[in-house]
Amino acid sequence: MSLDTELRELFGRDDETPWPGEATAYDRFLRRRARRARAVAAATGLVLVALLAGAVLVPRLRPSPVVPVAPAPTKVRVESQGFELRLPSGWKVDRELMGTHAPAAGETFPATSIGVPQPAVVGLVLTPRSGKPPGASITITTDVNERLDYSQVQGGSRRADGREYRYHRGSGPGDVGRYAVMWPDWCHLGMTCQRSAWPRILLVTGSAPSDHDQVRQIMKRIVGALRPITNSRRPPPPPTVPARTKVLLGTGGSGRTAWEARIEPLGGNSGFSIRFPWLQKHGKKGQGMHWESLEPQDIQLQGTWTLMDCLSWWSPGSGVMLSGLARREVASVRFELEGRAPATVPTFGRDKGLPWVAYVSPTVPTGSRIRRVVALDDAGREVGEEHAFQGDRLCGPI
Amino acid sequence: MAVDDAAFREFFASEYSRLCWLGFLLTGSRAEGEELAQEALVRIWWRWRLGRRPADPARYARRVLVNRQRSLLRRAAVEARSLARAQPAEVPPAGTERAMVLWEAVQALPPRQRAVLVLRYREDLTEAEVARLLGLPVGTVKSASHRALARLRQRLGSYDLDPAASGTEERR
Repeated sequence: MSLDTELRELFGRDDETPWPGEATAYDRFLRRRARRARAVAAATGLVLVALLAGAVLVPRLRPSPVVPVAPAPTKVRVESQGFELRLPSGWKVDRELMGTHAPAAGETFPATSIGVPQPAVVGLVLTPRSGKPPGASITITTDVNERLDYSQVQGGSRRADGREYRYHRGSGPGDVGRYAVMWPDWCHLGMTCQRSAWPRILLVTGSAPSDHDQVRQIMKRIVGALRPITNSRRPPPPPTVPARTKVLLGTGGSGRTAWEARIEPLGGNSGFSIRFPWLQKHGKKGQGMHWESLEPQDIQLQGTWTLMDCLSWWSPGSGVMLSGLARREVASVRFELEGRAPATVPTFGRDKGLPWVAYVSPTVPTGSRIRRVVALDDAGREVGEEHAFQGDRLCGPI
Repeated sequence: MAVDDAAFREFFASEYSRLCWLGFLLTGSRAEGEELAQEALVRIWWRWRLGRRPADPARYARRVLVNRQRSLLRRAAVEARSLARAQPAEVPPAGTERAMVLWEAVQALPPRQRAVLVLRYREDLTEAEVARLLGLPVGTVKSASHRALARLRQRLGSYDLDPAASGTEERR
C-alpha cells in the first residue's frame, strides 16, 4: 500500500463515526453563540470577576505557615522513566523493577548505543517501614506494557507544575486504585520520543487489604512529590527569530541565476527565502522567490536545513542550487553527491546576529542524487548531517 | 434577518463531526479540534444570520476552520509554554499498530507540513487550493508536502513502504 493511500485511510478513517459528545454539541454551540453575543458585557464582567477572584484566591495560594512538612529522609531516582521521588515518611523502597529502556539521541543513560534497548530500573515498589498498614505496597512505574493514552489522565487534577493526573478506583478488595500522571517523554529539543508510539503515563498503584484511605493519601502525596528529571524535563526550544525579522544574508551568482538569500516573513510567519531577481523581473508574477517557513528544530537537530531550486527551469543547463540555514557554529557545509566528488562551501551571514548562518552550493547537475549534507565546524569536524531529499533525483522524477 | 434555525441545525448536524475530525487532524488534539469546529460554526451562523449565507457552507466552514488554526499557529510560541498544549498528540480511535505509528509520525510533523498533508489527503484539495487556503506560495506547499512525506517515510523506515508508489511532486 502506498503512503498516499495510507494517509487517505488514516485521515478518513473515522469520517462516519460520531464525534464524542456530538449529542450535546448543539447545546454547547448555542451557549457559545450566546456568549459571543454578550461579549462586550462579558468582557467588562470578566475583569470584575478576575479582580474579585484574585482578591479571594491570592491569599489562599500563599503557602500556609501552619502546615508542618516533615523532611523525608531519602530520594530515589529512576532515570529511564524520568522521575525522582523523595520517599514519604515511614516508607521505604522494597524493590526496584527492572525492564528495558531504549536510549534516544542526547540521553546519557545508560551510556550505550542509541535506540538499543538496555536493562534499566523502570519502577519502584514501596512498602511501609513499620509494616502498617499490613500488606500495603505502592508501585510506581510507567505504562510501558499497558499502552495507555492521555485520555486516562485528562479531566482530572493538575500538579503544581501543570501535569494532569487522575485517580482510578481499585477494582477489588486489595486494590486501592491508581493515580495516572501525565509524564511525557522528551528526547531532545522539545520533541517527543519516537521510541514508542504511545505517550508516557506514570502510574502510582496502591495495594492493601485494609486502610485504603491511608494508603491512598500516601499515593496522592507521592503524585505531588514526583520530580521530573532526565527525559521528562522538556529541553529549551531551539533558538529562533521574531516573525517580522527581515535580513539580507548574502547575494551571489550572476545573470539569470543570480540569487539573494534572506530571512523574511510571509503571511505573518518567519522564513528563509532565496530570491532570483532575474526571474522576478522577467518571469510570471510570483515566480522567482522560494520561501519556506523556518524549521528551527530541524536546523538544531541536523545542523543544516537544505532547500533546492531547479535553476534549469528558467536557465537551461544551469542545474540545481542547494541552499539553506545552518547552526551558527557551522563554518562550512559539504554536499555529498552520488557518483561525484563532494563540494564544500563556506557559510555566510555570521555578522547578521542571527542564530543561524546560510550556505549556497555550487550548481550541481539536474538528476544528481544527494547522499548527505554535512555540517562542519571551524576545525573541519562533522557537527551535523542531513539526509536531504531522501536520495531522490534532484529536479527529476522520483 | 432571522436565521432559518432548522436549516442551520441540519447543516450543523451534517458537518459537525467532519469539522471536528478535520480540526483534530490539524491540531492533534480532540479538544482543540472541537474548539475550532465550534468556532467555525459560530462564525458561519453569524454570517447566515446577516443574510450572507455562503454558497457552499461546508466549504466555507472548512476555510474558516483552517484560517482560525493558522492564526492559532501564530500564537504557537506562546502556547508552547503551556505544558498541557505541549503534550504529544492524542491517539485516534482504534486502528492497526502501523496506523498508530503513522499517526504519531504525522503528529510529529511541524504544523504547516501536517496541515498541507491533511488538506491534500483528507480534503482532496489541489496544491494550488492548499496554497490559497494557507496563504503560501504553491512552491512552498509543494516543498512542505515533499518534506512531510519524506519525513514520514523516514519515521516509518522499519516498515516496508514503497516510496515509488507515492505520488510526491519533486519540483518546488
